[in-house]
This record gives sequence, structure tokens and C-alpha cells, in this order.
Amino acid sequence: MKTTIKIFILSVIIAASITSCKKDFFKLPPYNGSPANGTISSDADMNVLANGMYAGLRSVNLYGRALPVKGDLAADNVYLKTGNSGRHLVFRDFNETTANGEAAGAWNDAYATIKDANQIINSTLTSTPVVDELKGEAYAVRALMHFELVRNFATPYTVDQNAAGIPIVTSYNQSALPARNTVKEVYTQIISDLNQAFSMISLNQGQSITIKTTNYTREMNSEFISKYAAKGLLAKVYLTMGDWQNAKAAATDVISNSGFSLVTAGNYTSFWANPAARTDKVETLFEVSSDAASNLSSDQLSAFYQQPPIGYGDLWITNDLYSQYSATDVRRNVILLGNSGGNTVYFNNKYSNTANPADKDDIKVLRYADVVLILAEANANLSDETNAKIYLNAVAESRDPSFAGYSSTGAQLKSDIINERRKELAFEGDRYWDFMRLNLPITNHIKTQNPYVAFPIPITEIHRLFPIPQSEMDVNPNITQNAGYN
Amino acid sequence: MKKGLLFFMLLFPASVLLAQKTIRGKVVDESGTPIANASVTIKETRQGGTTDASGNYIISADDRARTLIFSFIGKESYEVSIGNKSEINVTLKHQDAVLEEVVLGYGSQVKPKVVSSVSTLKAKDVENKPYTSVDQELQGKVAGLQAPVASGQPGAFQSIRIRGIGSATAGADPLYVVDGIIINSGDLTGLTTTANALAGLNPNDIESISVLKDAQATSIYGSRGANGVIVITTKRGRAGKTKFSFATEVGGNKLAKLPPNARFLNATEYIQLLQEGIINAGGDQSDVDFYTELFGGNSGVNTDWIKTITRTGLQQDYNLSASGGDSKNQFYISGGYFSQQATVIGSDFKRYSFRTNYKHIASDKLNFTVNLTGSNAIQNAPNNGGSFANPVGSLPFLRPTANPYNADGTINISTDPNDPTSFYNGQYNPLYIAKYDKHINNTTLIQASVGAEYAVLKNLKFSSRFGIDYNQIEEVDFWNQFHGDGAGLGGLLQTNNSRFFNWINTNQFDYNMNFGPGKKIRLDAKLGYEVQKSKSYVVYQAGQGFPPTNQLYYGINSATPVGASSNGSDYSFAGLYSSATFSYQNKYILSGSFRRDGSSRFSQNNLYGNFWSVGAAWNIDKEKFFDKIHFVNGLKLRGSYGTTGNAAIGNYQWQPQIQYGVNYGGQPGGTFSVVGNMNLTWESTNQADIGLDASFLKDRVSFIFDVYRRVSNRLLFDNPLSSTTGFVSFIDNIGKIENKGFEFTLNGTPIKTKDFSWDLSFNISHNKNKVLTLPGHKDIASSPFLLREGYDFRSFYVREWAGVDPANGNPQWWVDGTHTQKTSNYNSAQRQLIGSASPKYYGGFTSTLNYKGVDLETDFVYNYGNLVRDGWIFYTIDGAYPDLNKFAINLQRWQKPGDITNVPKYVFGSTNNSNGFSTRFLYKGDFIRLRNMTVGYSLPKELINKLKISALRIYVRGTNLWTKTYDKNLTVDPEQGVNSQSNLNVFYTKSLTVGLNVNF
Repeated sequence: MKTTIKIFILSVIIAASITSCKKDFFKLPPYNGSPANGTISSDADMNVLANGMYAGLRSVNLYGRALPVKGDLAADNVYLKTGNSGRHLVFRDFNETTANGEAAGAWNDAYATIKDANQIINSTLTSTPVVDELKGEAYAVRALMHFELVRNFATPYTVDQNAAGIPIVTSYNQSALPARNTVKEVYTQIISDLNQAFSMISLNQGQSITIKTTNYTREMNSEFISKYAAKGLLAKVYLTMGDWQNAKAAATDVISNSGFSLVTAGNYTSFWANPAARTDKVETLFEVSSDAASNLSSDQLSAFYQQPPIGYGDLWITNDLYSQYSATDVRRNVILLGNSGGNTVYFNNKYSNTANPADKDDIKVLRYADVVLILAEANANLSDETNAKIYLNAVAESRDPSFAGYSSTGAQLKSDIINERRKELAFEGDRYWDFMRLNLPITNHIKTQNPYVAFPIPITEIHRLFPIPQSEMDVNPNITQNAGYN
Repeated sequence: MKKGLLFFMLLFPASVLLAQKTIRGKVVDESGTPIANASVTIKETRQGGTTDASGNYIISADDRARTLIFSFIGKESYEVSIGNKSEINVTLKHQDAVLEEVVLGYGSQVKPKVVSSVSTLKAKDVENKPYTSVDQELQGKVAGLQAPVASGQPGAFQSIRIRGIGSATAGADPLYVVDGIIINSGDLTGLTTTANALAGLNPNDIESISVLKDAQATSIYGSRGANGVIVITTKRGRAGKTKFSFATEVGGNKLAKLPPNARFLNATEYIQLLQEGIINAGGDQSDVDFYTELFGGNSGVNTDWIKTITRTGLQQDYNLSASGGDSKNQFYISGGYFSQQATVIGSDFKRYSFRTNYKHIASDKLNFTVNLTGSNAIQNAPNNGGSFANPVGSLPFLRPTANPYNADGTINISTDPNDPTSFYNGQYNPLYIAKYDKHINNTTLIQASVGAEYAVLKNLKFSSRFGIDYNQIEEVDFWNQFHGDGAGLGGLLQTNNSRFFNWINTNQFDYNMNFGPGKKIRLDAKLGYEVQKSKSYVVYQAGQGFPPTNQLYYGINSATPVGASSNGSDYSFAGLYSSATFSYQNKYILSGSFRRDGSSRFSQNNLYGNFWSVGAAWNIDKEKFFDKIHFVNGLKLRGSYGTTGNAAIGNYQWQPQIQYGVNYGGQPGGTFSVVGNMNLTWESTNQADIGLDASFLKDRVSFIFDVYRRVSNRLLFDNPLSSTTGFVSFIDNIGKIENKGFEFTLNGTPIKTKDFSWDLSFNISHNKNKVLTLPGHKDIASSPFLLREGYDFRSFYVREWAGVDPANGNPQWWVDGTHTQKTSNYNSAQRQLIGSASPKYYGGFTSTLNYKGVDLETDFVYNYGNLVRDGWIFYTIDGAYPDLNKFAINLQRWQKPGDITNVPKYVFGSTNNSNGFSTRFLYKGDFIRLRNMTVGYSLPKELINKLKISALRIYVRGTNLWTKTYDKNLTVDPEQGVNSQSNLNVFYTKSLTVGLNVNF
């Protein structure tokens, strides 16, 4: 009897310990995540997801490093020093394979950011100024990513609008296996998104909006896409399409209505040295944030330019580019001189904050000078050479106060504009896209400077386009590969 | 209190009044030799004593005494009725081997009833060895267990594979259980190059290690048994005189012999090759002069970097323990200090530890146990791999013309680009880094448990245990501000402070009964329930901008905080487990087990899993017909089949999540970044095992043979998605891998006389791994491997080297697997699946000679049939990186047409990919290593008795004294962890130590 009681008591203890550990015992939420159920609960929630979306642009495969490096290295502005760290060799050698990491990285990360933008755009939150603002910025980011994808992975619009573009993605579907839209369809989507962005974004740089749920004041600075940054991006998209009329209209809108200005010659060096976001509508329409807490560390673009021991210092400036700047050009102030084996070599100093503990260099995506030069080029192509020269010289004379201004005409004028773009936007990842949209050979592309090994890239070079990544080809039967890649 | 005292005083005279009687006698063994320290206990009063050195005892007994119990380790205990006797002499019989208990999961079992495949190591196999953690002791000792060393860093994590690799992306290491606590094992650190949670346990405290291998042994661990289970039991006290044991070992560690081809060029050779390379690259004399000057050819400096970064490391180990107790209270206490300096500068390990194991027997029915161990381990672990601060990495990356010292003898940290002897090209002076950079891992471990056992009935026992496993890890990673990665940042400090708190509660019934005709069938059964939760928490802080001194590296001194965060990771398990063993006269055994596990790591749709096994054994030697066979004295056939799980998957892997920390513009950011899988669950393994145990000639020769087949399925793989979804893949249970093989262990005692004995032990294991199913049946690249269905999991995917073209010195590769056409274009050579990083055969061989007091033990380990890759030769062979030092094998380069050599023409800045990964840099991983050799001398009994101690032994030990390799091209040690890839880790040491063990 006594034993029976003991067994009974023990059984009760065990039963109690078993039942006390029901399913709740297994519900352990992660420390750094919340369940993703596809819904956004408030404007504050949306704001945080918008920040996450912007942070996607900082990926080392996108603006964080690879895209700006490609824009200069694949062209004729910089070269990889001998004894480099072995990164981004394909942009020099034009020998990507379908397994190439740069191509896959850009493809994967751009679409990941599109997914983040879509989550905001497709939110069912009731329209409020904050919700509209954030959705508008998400439209702009979605457009920007489609734009980078289509110009990296597809035939230029100026060459063949009906060529295979890239899949347009406007909503999340885990089992989607989309085919490539045509280049034209992609550009149509980009333009539509940027127009949507322009209409929904209410803030110009320097303005702010209050997020209701948290009473947090969100300031529109250069690290976010403001109303006229969206319009400026539209101008750049039209430029890339060779749609001069629309490029002119968009650029004119920015120049007339945004209140932005060029940085002065006197402030030029300090403009580049400053790693902080701007609210003063000087020069920077949109840049991708890097700061002390959130940065790519040794993978920052700046570390790729800054010399050891601070950075890898892999990219050196070609003699060809350096020779374009006159002695009085303030843009020379952000070029450092070095010595390698008795040869003078040149280092870019636009990004100088790798070792700055307080802040890091933001990556410029769109500057006002770019928009001004877009307007110059659009006018030149619309045969309004007077206005073309006004805008061209606005930039050129601002950078070199001793310069008397361009007076060329016709093809020479257009060529001067492209060359001014080269000088102005060097090390910002732009140069390569001028060759691409104008469908020009890259005659001054080099393998090494000392000794000088020329490596011109003809327009027939298939590696001018990224391959569709093998991983995508493997899983998605509906997608087609670019010509020349098997 | 006063009342109690009074009561005691009143009682005291009464007890004196009980009639006392003295009993004396002698305890001897079967050969008549007296047994010292045998325990003599009066059953009724639990009083007693022990025998002296001559086996004699005297005890006084009162009227209540009826029965005496004699017991001694290794002998059958013996009960005798006192009656009127005043002298009782006893002969204790050797405990029959068949009654030996084998520790299994959740209890132990007598050997004949063991149905499963289990290997056991005893205290004598693991104590007093120069290894930082107990897992390192298993190499070569356990058939079916592979434990290749990956780094010479003391306290390094060591991967163990039992019966091959059973998982591709989840953990493949076994589960560790210490005194019933399922512990957090592996490398728990965040900043440390390599660390091992097991290094906190003092191996000298270990009584036994059971390696559970087949499903019958492991399925009681359910969702965590699939990779095998290592059950560690620590030492207990036994009733009797208190025994003290002191053990010490002191010595030095030196660089183990490197293969001849691991030699680097000296300055003269380097410059000679450099100059030749410039000419070969089309340069002229002015180029030669320029680079000769630039790379230090005129500096006169010739540094042997391997000498510079190595040293004789000190090794010290001290252990003192006491154990004993009486019939009611038994204890084991110990304290230990272990210190080991690696042969590479900046690499060392220290451990302070203690243990208290205590048992109180309250009554025949009830007892309590308390186990407590604490340790503090301090490890300094320099970077490995391509880190510029890695001292071993400085061998390939520093030119012999870089000068470690200034003219005045101080350490040279110049980075002047105009000084060719300075450190301007990335790599740093390892002397300065080792001295002033910090890589500290300070881990405090506490493992404790309280337990109680209660005999509800004579044949029904209930036990309950609550245990904790607590790791507090403080890591400091500091880059000094004067030289190295921290220069330019003003010094950078990173600290991680992490805590792992793991508790486990186990409640269990053990039941046995005899039934059937003549009650000849015996049932042993258990039923238990176990819950466990582990919570971890980590705080990270980083700061830079330190004052210009080398003394202050704590965060308080930094000017700018550059990182701060905290995070955590938790898991929980709960399981209901049971097992039953039916035995018919220990002749026919049938056994089964079942466990149902739930875990936070499993998705809501698949929260619980069931695991089971069945096994049977036939002790053929117990059959009548066997009595006639005299030379065979033991023969057992056994077999089992069952399922186990592998839950070593990520804690939150199944949960679709918006994750934060993707901050932007100084504001918090989050993205839907974990796609998750609402059906995700454990990996599952089915295993069949058939074994034969036999012993011959009165156990002079015995063997254990097992064949097995393990099929692991539902393996976690990334199931690819179209990246246009925003996700590259999602984690899914889709893969399947098979391991099959055999294990054979042979033990023998060829010589056994009064003065001389020779014991031999040999084991060999063979495992064949095959990938059966991959996502979409497609290959998965996992450089340098490729996973392909039908092939070994660790097959190298590599271009095949076809030698150097004698005509022009160019490198050549085979175009394809047919070996019909060669190419000098690296990219036109197809990659092939070649060999495997996993050995075909491996094992160990131990010989122990005893002659009078002298013993000689030699342990060999061996490994056969895998390939090993030098993971960093890309930089140190041929001319692609002419600014770095080169292996001396470059001297065998092609120089003129007709030269037959395997080393291509040395071309400065060569871009022909001759240094690219190919079979040229895969070596045969076969080796035989003399892992341990010990010569000892134990003082003879007479002398010991005079000294009033019970044993004294002195010894000299050498480890890694000799290694035989089978590939003359080896540039690295052939033992490179389970993936057989070198990563510029701390070199292995060979050590020479002297030791002293005293028991008293």
C-alpha cells in the first residue's frame, strides 16, 4: 500500500513535469528577428523596413563596392596595381564566366533589395503622408535596382530595345520562375516607378516628416531618395535610353525646381572629405550611407582606393585620366601622387574616411553635376548647342576657375561633354556606362600602366554584359542566357 | 540545540553498554596474495574498516552485527555470516570479466547483455596525457572514430567523425554527455581563432569514456544521436581509506618535423629566383637591378622566419586528488593545473580546475549525489589563414630579406616603402604582433548536478537529476596601435563576453524482473523524461584610438567606440525515452529502445520526432556445446537496427524572419531576410550494425568486429530558388548520404609471465562514404570539393596536373578525364572529381611492455587513402606573387629546353595559373605517427611500503616523435583536420616531458 502511494506520488511528479513542458517550452523567439508574416503593422514599422531596404544598396556587390569599381575599372579611369589583393579582376580582364561572383552578387542582391521595396510598396497600410513618402522612396529604389540590373545584364536600350532584358519583379512569390522581359518593358517599368516615386515623395532634401507611431522626426537628407533625387534618377534613365527630349525635361525640372547647386571650387576638397549626410542641397542628390556603426569595414569602396596600411589601395588612376585635368582644376585636389618603381602614380582621394572612427564615406549614386551634364548632353543632341555649352561650362568652369569654357560644336561638343563627365564623375562608377549607352569601344582600357599594357575592349566583346548567373540558369528554366555565355 | 546535546550524552553511555566483540582476519586473492585496502563492512551497522598492506584487518562489532561484507575493486564482493567467529579469513575472487559494467546512455549494462557497438576507454587511457581536451585522446584509440588534429594551437577545437560524415550542412560532431549532462560542446567562442568547450574539463578527472556508435546505443538520445554519442563519466570515491594521488608532468614542446618540401627559400635563393623570373618575364638588366634593390637583394638580410616564429614551449601539468569515504559518504576531490605553450609564438593555454564528486547513502533505499567541477581556461590563440597578423602566415608572405630586428636589437616595425627590409607590403612583423596584439579567450566552466536515487521497490528504482553546464567566455582581441592591423586606427579592441547557460533535468525509472519458466528470463527496463534548455547571451564591444602605450588595451582607454551589440541564441529539447532488455540466462538478449523528442529547433509543423532501435545478441560461449571448445572462451554475435536524428541545425533556422541590424543612416533597419521553412526538421539516420566479439586462450587474445551501414537522410541543404524572388535558396530536408564500413579491434597479450608482460592493441576502421541524393540531383560546389550523387562527400573537384612541358617550361593540365590531351591554358582544363579528403582506412596501434617495474608504452596512429591539400600554396609557388617568399621546391624549376621537372619556369608576375589549384597541390595523406611513447619506472613494492605510499612511478614521454609520410611532394603535415586542408594553423608540436605519479 505504502509503495503504491510512493509510485503514485512519483508518477504525479513526472506527469507534472511532462505536462508543464508543452509546446510553449519549444517556442523560443530569435533575438534578432521577428516573425515574417508578410504584413507591415505601422508607419514606424514601414520606416524600419525602408531603412533595411536602403541598407541593401550598401551591399559589397552593389554600390558598396562592386558597381562603382566596375564603372571605372572596366573603362579607362583606373587600373589594378601590380600586387593587388586579387579582387574584381574580371572588370579588368573581361573574362567573366557564368559562375562569376560579381555577376551573381549583383543579381542576387539587387533582387533582394527589390523584394524589400516590394514589401513596402505592396503594404496595405492606409495612406498617410508618411506611408506615401516611404512607398514613394521604395518605388524609386525598385526602379534604381531594375535600372542597374538591366544595364549590367542586358543589351543597352540604345542598341536593341527588344533584346532580352531582365525579369521585372513587383511582388514576392517564393516559387516564381520568371522569364526575361524585354529591355523596353524593363525601362517602361523603371520610368513608371520613378514617376510614381516623384508623385508620392513629398520631401525635398532638408525637409522632414514625423512618424506618428513613434513621434520620430525623419529628416530627408542626401542618404535617402528625395523628390528631386527621384527626378534626377529619371533624367539619368532617359539619358541611358538616349531619350533626349525626356532627359531634358527631367533634368530641367531638377535644375529649375529642386534648389540644388554645384559645390564651389573653394569647397570642393572639403565636400569630398566630408563623410556625413547633407541637408543643404549642395551637389549630392543621393548617396548610400556608411557610418561608424554600419559599414563594410575592409570591403568599403574607400579601402579599395586608400593605400596601405589603411586600405588595399588596389586601384590606381590611369595616366590617361590624370592628364585630362589641367593644373588649376580643383578636381586634382582629390588625387594623390605616389611613387612606384620610379614612376609617378596617382591615387584617388575622393574617399578618405576608411580609418575615420566617427564616420565612413558615403557612396555617391547621383550628383547635381551629373544632372547638369545630362542637360548639356540632351541639349547637344537636340541641336541646342548654346544651352548645351551653358550647362557644360557651368560644371567645367566651376571646377577650374581659370578655364575659359568650351566653345566647340557638333561632334566635338558632344565629345567634350562626355570627357567632362569623365573628369567630373571619375571614381563614381559612371564612365563605363557612357561607353555602353553610346555603344563605343573602350580604346584606352589597360591591363597595367607600368609597363603599359593596352587592352582595348571592342563593342563586340561579349563580356561587356554580365552573364545571367549559373545559379539562376540552373533553377529557372524560363530564363535565357546572354549571347556568348554558355 | 542544548537539548539535543543532552539527549546525545544520555544516549552515549547506553551505546557503550552494547556488547563489543573484535573480529580479525586476512583478505587474500586467488593466488594467496594479500589485498591491501579491501573494504570490510558490517552489513547491519554500516561500520567497518579496511585491510592493511598485509591484508589484515581488525574491526569491532556490537550485538547487531550479523554479516560481514568484503569488497575490493575488480573482485567479486563476498558476504559472510559472523556467527560466533572471531577470525574470518577470506579469499576474494577475481571479478569475472562477464560482469564488467559498460556505461551506456542513461545507465550501464553488464557486458554480456550489451547488444550495441560501444567502445570504452578507462581512466588509465586518458589520464596524464599532454592533451588539452579529452577528445584529443580518442584519436587512434577507438575503432570507427576519426579525430585528426587540425591545429597545434593548445585548446583548439577538434572535429570528430564517428563512422564517417553523416551530415552536409548541419553539425556532424558527436553529442557529448558528461555525468548525465548533455553539454554544449564545440567552439563556443566568437572572436577566437579556435577554441574547444571540452578543454575546460580536466582529463585526469575522467573515469571512463564510452563511445556509442550504432543505433542501438545512440537511439536513446533520439534526435541528437545520429552522429554518435560520447558518454564521459568522472571519478567517484569508494568506501575505504582515503587515497591521494599526485601526478605531474613537465617538459618542452618543439616544432614537429615538417616535410622537406615545406622549406622556404633563403635570401640568396630568393633573389636568384627573382632575377631569373624577371628575365623570363621579358625584363632587362635594369628591371633586375630595380627589383633586386626593391625586394632587398642588396640588404644583406637573410631571415629564417620559421626560426623566428618558433620556440621551445613549456609544458606543465599538476594534478592532486583525494578519494575515499565510508559506507555512507563517498567523495572524490581534485585540483589541477595544466599549462602548455605551443611551439609558435603567441600561442598557449592554461587551465585551473577542481572537481568534487560526492555521494551520500542515506539508507538502503535512498542516496544523493552532488557533482561539481569548475575550471578557468586561458588561451592565447593567434590568427590563422591569410590574416596578416598570423605568425605562421608570415612564413610564406614575408620575404627572407625582411628584417625582424633593428640594428639595436629592438623589434623592427618599419613600414618604410624605401627600405626593402621593412614590412611595407601587407604582412607584419610577427614578433611585434605576438608581443603586443592580444587574442585572449578566458573561459570559466562550471558543470554541476544534484541527483537522488530512490528504490521504490526492490526492483524499481527512481532517479532524478538536475544539472547545469555553464560557460562564461571573455574574449579580448586587440590590435596594437603601432604595427599591424591596428596601426592607422590607433589600435582596435574587440571584446566578446558570452555566457552559455544550459540546464537539464532527467527523471528516470529503472525496473527489472525475472519471469518465465524457472524465472530464467530477466527484464531490465527504463523509462525516463528529460527536459533541457540552453540559453546563450553575448555582448560585443569595439573601440579604437588608444593611448600611445602598449600596456592599456581595455575599452575604457579607447577614444572612440566603433561597435557595441548584444545578442543571444537559445534552444530547448524535451524527450520521453525508454528501453527494455530481455535476457535469457545471459545467452539470448533482445533489446529495444524508443525516444520521442521535441525541440525548439524543429518547425511548428514537425515539432516531435520518434526514434527507435532493436537489437539482439547471442552469447554463443554460453551454449552447452561450447564447453568443449577450450581455446575460445568468449563468443558473441550481435546485431541492431534503428533510427536516430541529427538536431545540430540552427536554433532558428526554420522561422521566417524579419531580421534587424541592417541599419541605415544611423537608424534601425530590418528586412525580410530569413525565408525559413515551416516544415523544417531534424536530419534522420537509419543504421544497421552486425558485430562479433570473440576472445581466445583465456582472454589472451580478443577481437571485436563490426560492420555497419548508416544512411542519413532528410539532410539539410539549400534548396535553390530563383534569385529574382530575393532569396537564393531556402533550407530544406532533402539530401541523403550513405556511410558503410567495418571496424576491427584486436587486443592481445603475447607474453605474460610473473615479471614480464606485453600487451598489444590494434584497431582499423574502414569507411566508404557516398552521396545518394542532392537537391534536384544537381552537383553542389563546395570549393575545393564538389558534391555529386554517387561520389564521396569530400571528393576534390580539381584540374588534373599534367606536368611541365620540357620544351618551354610551361605548366600543363589534362584537358579532360581521358588524359589524352594536355593544355597550358588552365581554363581549358576540365575539373574532375578526384579522391577524397576522408581516409579509407585509419586507426591505431598500441604496445605496452612491462618488465618488473619498467613499462614502455608506444601509441601509433595511422591514416590511409585520403588526399591532403595545401590551402595556401597559391601564393608560395611559381612566380605569380614574386614579392612573397617561395617554397624551396621552386629551385627545381624548369630552366632550359629538355629539363624534366615538375616545377614550371619561374616567371615574375606569371599569370599562367600554374599556381592555381590542381592535383599538383594534392598530396597523399597517408601517414603513420608515433603519437606517444612513454618509458616509466614504478618503484618496487618493498620500497613503496617503506616510504608508506601505495605507488610511485616516474616516466619520460615523447609525443609526435616520428612520422612516416608517403608523398615526397608534401608541403604541409598530412594531418589537417577532417577536411584535409591546411590553413596556416599553429604547427604541431613534438614534446618531451618527464612525469611523476604518486599514490598514497
